[in-house]
Amino acid sequence: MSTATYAVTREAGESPPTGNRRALAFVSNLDFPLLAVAVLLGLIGLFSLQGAVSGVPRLEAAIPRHAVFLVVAIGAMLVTMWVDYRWLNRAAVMLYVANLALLVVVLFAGTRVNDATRWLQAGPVSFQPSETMKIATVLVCAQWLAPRPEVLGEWKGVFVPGVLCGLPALLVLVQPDLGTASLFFVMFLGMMLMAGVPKRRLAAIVTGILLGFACCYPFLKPYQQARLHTFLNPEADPMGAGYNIIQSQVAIGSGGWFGRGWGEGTQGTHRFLPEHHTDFIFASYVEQFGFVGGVVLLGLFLFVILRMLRAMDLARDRFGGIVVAGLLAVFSFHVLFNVGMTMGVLPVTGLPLPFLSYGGSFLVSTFALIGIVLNVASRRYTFVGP
Amino acid sequence: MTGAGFPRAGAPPWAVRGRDQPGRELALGVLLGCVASAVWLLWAGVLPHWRLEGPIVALVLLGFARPLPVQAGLLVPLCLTAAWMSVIPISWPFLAAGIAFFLSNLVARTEAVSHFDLAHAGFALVAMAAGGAVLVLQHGLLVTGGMLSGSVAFLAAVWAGWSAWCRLNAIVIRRGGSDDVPPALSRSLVP
Repeated sequence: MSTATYAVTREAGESPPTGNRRALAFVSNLDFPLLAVAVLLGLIGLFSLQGAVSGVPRLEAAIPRHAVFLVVAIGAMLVTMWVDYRWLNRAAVMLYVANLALLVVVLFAGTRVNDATRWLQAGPVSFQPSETMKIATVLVCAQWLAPRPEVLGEWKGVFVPGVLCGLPALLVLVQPDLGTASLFFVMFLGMMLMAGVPKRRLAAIVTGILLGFACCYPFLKPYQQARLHTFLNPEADPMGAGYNIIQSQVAIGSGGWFGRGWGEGTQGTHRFLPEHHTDFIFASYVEQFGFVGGVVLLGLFLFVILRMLRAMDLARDRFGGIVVAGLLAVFSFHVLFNVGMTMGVLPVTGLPLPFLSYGGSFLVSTFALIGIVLNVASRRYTFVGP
Repeated sequence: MTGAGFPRAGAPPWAVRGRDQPGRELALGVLLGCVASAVWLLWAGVLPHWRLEGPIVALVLLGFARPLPVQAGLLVPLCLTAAWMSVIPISWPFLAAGIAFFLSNLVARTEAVSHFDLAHAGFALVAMAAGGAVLVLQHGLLVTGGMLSGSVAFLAAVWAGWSAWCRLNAIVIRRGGSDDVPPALSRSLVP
């Protein structure tokens, strides 16, 4: 697309844009509101995390680490924002294969925490390859789908992206991480919808995925099956599988209109609410800042989602549009599933909340995701003049 | 809006237009509905005795939502949340019926009723039926053992959906058969 456009400018006797002019155009077209809200959400995350772990000596060391992660993550966002996303198109296969290899390595040499092997240890830093795998999968699927709109009417058009998403999903499921594995299917659906797959075929895919999950049910770990049962009735096992949901709802309800105040949440600091700094950070946040704080946070997330939709519409080419569609599916699923989980309307799957949950890999991948969206949105114009 | 040196050269070649637009709007409606449901659940956490006022918010949201696919998308999470939060199972299918008729009235007032509108309205009705099914699972069969109330609730949801569907069909047949077919409708009928 860009090559053709520059060719037109050359034919008209105009020189192609120089690096400085391109950079100026890029900065002037940047989606500053999205950039600002992303950084604001990162700061809110740090602030609420500090409040959530205050008075818990075991976790207070997490704050400086999270601050460092935040700086690294913003750096990652700037990098993914600056490098032309069409370069990512060329690097997509390499990124995908490398991440797939890391997922295999995790199974054999990963660090085991809470009965799950999800992390690779490199010196003092641990890294979760499944987080970067999400972005790599979106890129490689978009790279395959973008130049082939004609195959969407055939089963081949569904099969290849399905395999590309299914392979990492399978490897993540073995770790085991049911939440992240299901995320790959949502990402797949988002990209297929926006790539223009026929509706009937999409309905068949959804049915197939649901049937696939139903067939997988007997192979789930007992604790995963218990989570699904508890989701329907947490009171059936209030001290076991239903404990997290009940304590989370208590935390949300006790926040009231304006919350107990920063660092005053008792559910987390008194250890009633497990994982209150990671998966259940939203409950901890609402306990501190109340209904008003919760609505403000949801409003900021909605703003990010709407800006991503806008970026998808404005993308200059199919590749950019499909990439943003996949990333939008990933981001929305994380937000909505985590919030639904903490409020007890969705099963507990261990999906963290973007920007707020503690965890370096996830924070970096979230900011990198936003960076790619900003990248596509900023390069929405085709160069036709000097 | 143009950027420095990068004025837009026509519409993006890949842009989702025409037939694909309702799918995108439906997705937008679902996302908005999910966020609205989350706010409703937070509200219920703060004021548990007032949590049933959520349907009023839902109706207001539906009244303002345009176009129809966005409304249909909104209905999915809102109906599921309504069913999930219910304490009196029998009341919610009647809410679903109310929303269905509300929706069909909105459709009747619009200038054009296309097959897409009809399909998405049907989708909304399926969402209501799904809400009824969740309601049966959570409050009827699994938890309280109230088989009778759960079954009646589910039947009521099906009835509501079917009635609204018939009504929409009647509107489409009437408009399609008249001499003065609205322009948008005639466009949608052209293959």
